[in-house]
Amino acid sequence: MALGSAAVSNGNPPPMELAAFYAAEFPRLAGALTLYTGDRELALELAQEAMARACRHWPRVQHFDAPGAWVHRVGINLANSAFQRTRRRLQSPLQPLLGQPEPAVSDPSTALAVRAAVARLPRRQRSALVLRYFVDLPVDEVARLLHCSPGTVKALTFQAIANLRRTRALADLKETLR
Amino acid sequence: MTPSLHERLRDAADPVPAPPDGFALALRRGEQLRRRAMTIRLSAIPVVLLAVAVIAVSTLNGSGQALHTVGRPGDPEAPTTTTLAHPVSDPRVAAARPAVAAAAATRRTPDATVPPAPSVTRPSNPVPPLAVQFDHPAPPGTRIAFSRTDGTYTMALDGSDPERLIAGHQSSPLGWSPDGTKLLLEATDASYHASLVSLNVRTGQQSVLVNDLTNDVRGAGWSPDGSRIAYSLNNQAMGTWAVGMVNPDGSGAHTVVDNVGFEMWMADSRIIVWGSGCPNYTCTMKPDGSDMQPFTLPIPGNLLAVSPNGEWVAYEDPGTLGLRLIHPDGSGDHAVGQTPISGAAFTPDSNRIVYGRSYVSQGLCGYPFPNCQDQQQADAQRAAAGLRLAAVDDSTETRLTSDDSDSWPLAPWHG
Repeated sequence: MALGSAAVSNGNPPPMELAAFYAAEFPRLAGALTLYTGDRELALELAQEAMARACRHWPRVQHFDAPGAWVHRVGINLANSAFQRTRRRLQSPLQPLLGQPEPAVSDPSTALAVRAAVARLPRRQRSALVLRYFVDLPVDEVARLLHCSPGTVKALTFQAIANLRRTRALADLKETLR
Repeated sequence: MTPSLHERLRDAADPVPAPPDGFALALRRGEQLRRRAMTIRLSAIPVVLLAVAVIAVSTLNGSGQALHTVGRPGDPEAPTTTTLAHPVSDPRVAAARPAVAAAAATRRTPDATVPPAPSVTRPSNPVPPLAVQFDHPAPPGTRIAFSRTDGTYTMALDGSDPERLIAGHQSSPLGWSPDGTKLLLEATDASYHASLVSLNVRTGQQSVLVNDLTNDVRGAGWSPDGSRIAYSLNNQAMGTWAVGMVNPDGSGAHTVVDNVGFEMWMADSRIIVWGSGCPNYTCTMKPDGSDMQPFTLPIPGNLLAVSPNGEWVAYEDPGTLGLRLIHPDGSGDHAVGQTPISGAAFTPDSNRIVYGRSYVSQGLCGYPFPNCQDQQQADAQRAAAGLRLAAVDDSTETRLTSDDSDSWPLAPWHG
């Protein structure tokens, strides 16, 4: 069966599974990267590029246990690379903004304020939080993607929630560690 | 009703549908990437051929140097990128440990090394046994325990004599018994449920202390006299926490106080908690849950460890992601070691602290792709990663391991 980019180069139509994968994963990936970067436009760019990588490697990716998890990890890695190359607003992931004052947001309960609070988390905490609580990956899968143990994932997500609760936007957040 | 974290994240993410022409554009871009990779590969062929020729010539001349992998001899699961400050492949270490070779040989078939069925104290709620691997009994009270992607290890405080106790990443060490013979582990099963297991590092005997299917175990700490174990329970359905207490044999498990918990230590017969429900996120209480009071002044970051003598608290600086120490009264705040870190634990004398210099994957380098864009940064991160032992006054530091996987170290409670 001709698949992925090989199919395109041969002039054959792309496989239906890949089209379905794109349609299903793009919204979730774009949302996750919006949370991860705090920048909607950048997130859409990165999501598209990550999906292109999935197309490029589809013959292999389709056999992975969790292609969706894989493309999310690729998207986050691309975001990390983008931070380093362009020194965008979030700067280096090693220089998180938690030590800086919160941005002035008229209504701290808005989605924008939550997005900003998440984007200011340290990178590992942010990765674990987004993958676990937005993408809804199981602990074990997040651990595999972050190259750490399930216990570390739990610690990172708990630390992320603790940091979020220190912000005005999420001060009333109830503990929901799963 | 207050929306949940999941709902707030969903609102904040504001997902959008896939653009109509997005798939076609992704396919086109994927094809571009494929052609570029092909071009790079073709252009590399002459270089590879030249390199092969040079190696062949040098080998024929007898000057070729054998390539070697570093790690435990005969251990097929040990990553070849891992090196230890005093690798056991070192002949000096090997000579001192004749049992290593025989034990390593048995590891070629890991299933064969699984010890007999563990003693499960609660047969009504069984937990699959952890695959424990032993070389020899560990000297009591002188070793650190830490988890990596490929297993749970113990190691001497000078970085020598590493020993993988458990293969795989289904367990994390939480605390040593005061006599150094037993290790508390958070064991995660296939459904991601975490139970509390006590592992005798001399005999391999395992006891499941807490395995409540409705609750997940997290932090745990042994009392200084070894008579009790405090732990945190997370109700996964409700998202609430509780502090529990159990005897070392698994009997007498009970909840001490509700709505408090996460990381847990015990010092001077008092429970110390970092987590929800505490004023300032840290609190201390008697073993029966009474007399709860703040343990520290507000700490700007996440608490990682409490020294056995209770004088120091280690926390992660949210700005630099580095390690900082502070007295519970808020004095003496200072940085220790290098950044970023991944966990920390004090030595029994409270004078030193073990921490993990974190490896953070960069770009696509950690994935099976040839087009790594940030190889230099990734290499630098990998080169600096590993466990380090630092004095609490930051005057000295010793690198214990060179390890490109995540580590979550833990020191012995008492020497």
